Amino acid sequence: MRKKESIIWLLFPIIWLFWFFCMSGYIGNMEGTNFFQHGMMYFDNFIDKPGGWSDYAEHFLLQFYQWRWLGALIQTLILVGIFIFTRGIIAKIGIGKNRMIFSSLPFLMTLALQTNLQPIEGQIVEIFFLYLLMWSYLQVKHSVIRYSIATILSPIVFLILGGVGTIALYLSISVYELFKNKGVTRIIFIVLWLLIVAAQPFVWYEYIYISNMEDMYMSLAIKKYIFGIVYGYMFILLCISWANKKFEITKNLLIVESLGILIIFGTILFCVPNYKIESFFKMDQAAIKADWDEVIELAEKLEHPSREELCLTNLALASKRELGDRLFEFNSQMGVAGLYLPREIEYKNSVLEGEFYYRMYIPNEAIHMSLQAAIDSPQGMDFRTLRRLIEINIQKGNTIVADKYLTILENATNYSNWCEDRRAELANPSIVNSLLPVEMDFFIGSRPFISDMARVFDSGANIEMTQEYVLCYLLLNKDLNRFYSFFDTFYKPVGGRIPKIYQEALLYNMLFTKKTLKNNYNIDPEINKRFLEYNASMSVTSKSALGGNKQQIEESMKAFDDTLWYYLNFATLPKVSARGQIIMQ
Amino acid sequence: MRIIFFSLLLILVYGCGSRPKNVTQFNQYPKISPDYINITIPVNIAPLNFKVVDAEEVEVEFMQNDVSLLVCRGGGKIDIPLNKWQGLLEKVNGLVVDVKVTALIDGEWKGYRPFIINVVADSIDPYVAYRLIEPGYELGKRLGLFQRELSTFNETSFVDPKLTSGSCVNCHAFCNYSPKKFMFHSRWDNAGTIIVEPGNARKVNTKTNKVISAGAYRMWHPSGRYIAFSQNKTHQAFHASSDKLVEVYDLESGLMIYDVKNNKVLTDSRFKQKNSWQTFPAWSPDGKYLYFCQAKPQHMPMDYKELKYQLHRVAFDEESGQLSDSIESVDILQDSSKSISFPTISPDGQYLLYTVAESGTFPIWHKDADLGMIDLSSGESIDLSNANSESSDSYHAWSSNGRWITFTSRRLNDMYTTLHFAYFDENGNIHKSFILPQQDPDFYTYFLKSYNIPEFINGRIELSPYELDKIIKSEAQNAI
Repeated sequence: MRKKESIIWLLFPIIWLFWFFCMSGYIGNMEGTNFFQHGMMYFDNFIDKPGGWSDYAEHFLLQFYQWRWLGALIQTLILVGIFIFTRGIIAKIGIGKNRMIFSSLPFLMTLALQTNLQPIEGQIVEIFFLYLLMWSYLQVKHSVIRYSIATILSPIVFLILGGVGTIALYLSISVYELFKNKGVTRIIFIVLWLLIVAAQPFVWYEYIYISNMEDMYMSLAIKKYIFGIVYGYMFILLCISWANKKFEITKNLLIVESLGILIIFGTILFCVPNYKIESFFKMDQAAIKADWDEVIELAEKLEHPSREELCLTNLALASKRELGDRLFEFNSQMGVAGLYLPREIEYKNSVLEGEFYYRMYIPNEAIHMSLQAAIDSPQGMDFRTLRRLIEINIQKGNTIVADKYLTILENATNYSNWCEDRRAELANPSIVNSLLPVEMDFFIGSRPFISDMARVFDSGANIEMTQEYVLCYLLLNKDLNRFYSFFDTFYKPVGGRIPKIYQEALLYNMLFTKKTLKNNYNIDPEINKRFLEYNASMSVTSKSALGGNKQQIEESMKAFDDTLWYYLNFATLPKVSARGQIIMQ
Repeated sequence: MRIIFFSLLLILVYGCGSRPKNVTQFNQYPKISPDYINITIPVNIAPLNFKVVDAEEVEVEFMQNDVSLLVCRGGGKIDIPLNKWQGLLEKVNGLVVDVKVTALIDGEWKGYRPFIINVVADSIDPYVAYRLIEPGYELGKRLGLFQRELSTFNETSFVDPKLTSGSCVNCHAFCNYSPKKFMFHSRWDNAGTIIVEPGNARKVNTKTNKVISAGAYRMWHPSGRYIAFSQNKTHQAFHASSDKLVEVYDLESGLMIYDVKNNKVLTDSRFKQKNSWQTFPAWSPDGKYLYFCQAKPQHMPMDYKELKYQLHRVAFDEESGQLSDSIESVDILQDSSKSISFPTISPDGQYLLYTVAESGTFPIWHKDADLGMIDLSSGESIDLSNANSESSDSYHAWSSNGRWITFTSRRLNDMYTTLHFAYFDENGNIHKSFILPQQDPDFYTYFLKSYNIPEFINGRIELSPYELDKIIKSEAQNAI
């Protein structure tokens, strides 16, 4: 039996490797969206909250996810723990010899939850504690002591497991006692437990913890039904045990069982994880580190980037001063909406807008959006936002509030190195500050986006990036007249070279728009040649049998889909609302 | 056994903190946080726990006429037991206490010049109500209304953020400091004005077709029958790089009076005009005058620096609910280039407290905002430099006996507002203000919310958060 089960141990290193290599975005995101503080002031938020102790434990652990290997290890060790406790439980309740599949299912289901849902509010840790508590209960041999402990500790269990977990645990131990033991005492205790479990949320609701009743009791079971399976699993095991089903172990059954586990495991790793979200998280993590090459590399792998991914890609291109060269290499079907996010107050939006304004060196909007992100985070602050607030406030010279935020971050567990570097910056007044100066202030944040960018450009801050955003916006909006005016009057080439897309616009002007420009511009022969090819191809295609069918012409011109000419001819602009939402694709 | 005994002894000795030895005396005040040096406090305030900056250990001795009354020790900060503190305040009621601080810093015991705490018999109202809000200035998520017992550290919510998530609750106001008769607004989800009277709590919608908006800034008439409201079309604009982060302004505003008894909105065309913006209504304590701020409209937000509100008043007839014909200007500023907001009059009707800033209607985000006060009988300005700071000092309220003021300030870090109290003595002098005491002296360092709209109340609000939540989520009665 032991030998047979040892096969399962081989799965855990694979799980660690899976988290480390395939889910690094999740791990980084979990750390960034987490918040933790030492001391009673922070623990006060959890001390009397049903399930709050698991939340607290989870927030503590998530701090360590800043090291990817450790985050992957903690994710794995939680599953190891669940496996060990399940095995112990199964041994105690006498399921029989076919333990392997039964002892594996809980951790496999938890793995599925870990990879598909973002573990929030301590739910995964709650599952771990559920199995730990059940296992611990079964270790106490003397029945009256066992009953008494379970009764006395029921409020603690409620604080650890919350409403659903407590119900699952006490129902399970009631079933266990009912079918596995004898005597009237157990009936008395079972009745008592059922009363406690039923009354506890009401007592808490009335006297201890102000909350909506549904949050106190049933929300997990209703909203995340899959948790119900995990929580109800022990109940199922006990029923099996009660039915006393024992299968004869044969070689074939062993093979079938092992194969079954491997199939479930493989399915979980390949089908369950939300790889689309993981890809976004990876890109987001790279953007935080200003690793623009990584952002672009990830964008190149995306077939249908989301608006958020497209905005990050364009930010990466603008930061590398490549937006004017590569704008149309990525999905341009969103038109101008791919350059910025709508003015929606929601965590992801606020965080990404904060990133955008930070990279554009506009301090107050970066602070504004970071504060909005903090408000929308589960605890009213998260490490990612806190770090960003520290950085901006140091750069802006708001030393007192920067010091406050630094002290808060230092009160967590693992951030001393990062904080030391920021303290050094805080103490050094000669720090390079490229933010928009106070005296250049203007009002910002009202849409349309182009008006904001024009004001940023007028202020003289971060000219190189801003002019890219203005020019690309005008091209994406097919507003060629304003493009030529702006370009001819204000544009300052970076490194003396005009980006590809702008050259394409200039060529287009020569042939079609024919607007008189004040300056002369050199066009690369390669672009000239491609323009001739494009026109020749267009002319042939239009005259051919495809003439009347725009869709087929578009298809046949695909070779030029990274050019402005193609975009001008074939792209349909989505309607964007005043606040930046896409109304119609 | 012996090892256990000595270990326990060691823990006990260490836990109590060691007594100062070889103390070097310094003729300067200790650097303590919060700053309670030379302040005036009411006899019924919570313990003034503080820490000595950079100290490893600290001993604090409270003395009166060289007689030691209380000694507290701690590792860098003190946590004064509530009963001992209350005993101390009883003994020194109306007297001055000397506070002698000795601190172990860098391995050396340092003795500092004793500072004083002036304990006055004029007590402060037992509770203060306020809103706690994250300083995001666009959308809040965990906004709640709280009451704090001022003689202890007990804080409880009466509108709980866990229940009202998605609603913005604001502008709580109490009729004659009563915890049984009050109002507040709920915005966004479940919009309406909640009015609580003994045995009758309800939600009303004060937006009628005669007004610009539902009631906003508010004050109860002393009779309890009326509430004066402003009606505002409020907008926000965000500064890109200035020290100010946000500009909140009106594009239209006026005044209205809500008749609580008849659920009726009383309007007057003079207080809803295109060529003047009025806001911040405040009754005189006898209820015969309504004070308010008025400004000439500007092109907003571009000309926000030109927007200057000045104080006016109009007589009010309680019987008819009518405002008189003549509107008087109340000149309280020598410098007319400034803007006034939040006028409030002392319970004895003699003093007017207000906020003054360079411009605008929302001084909370203006670093230049300060408190101002005039004696209404003589027109003389009162020096409030003991209360004001370099940062924004803005919203304020009088205690029911007129001897205390509470106000919000961003003085700690320019970002998070905190609550402060200052004594206003019978000779018309304001004393050095102090921050709302907290059990942990480091509380404000780690706290990530702002205190908003402090209002004194003369007792505890007994209505439970659940009951108020039901009212918030109920259907609003439309005012006539």
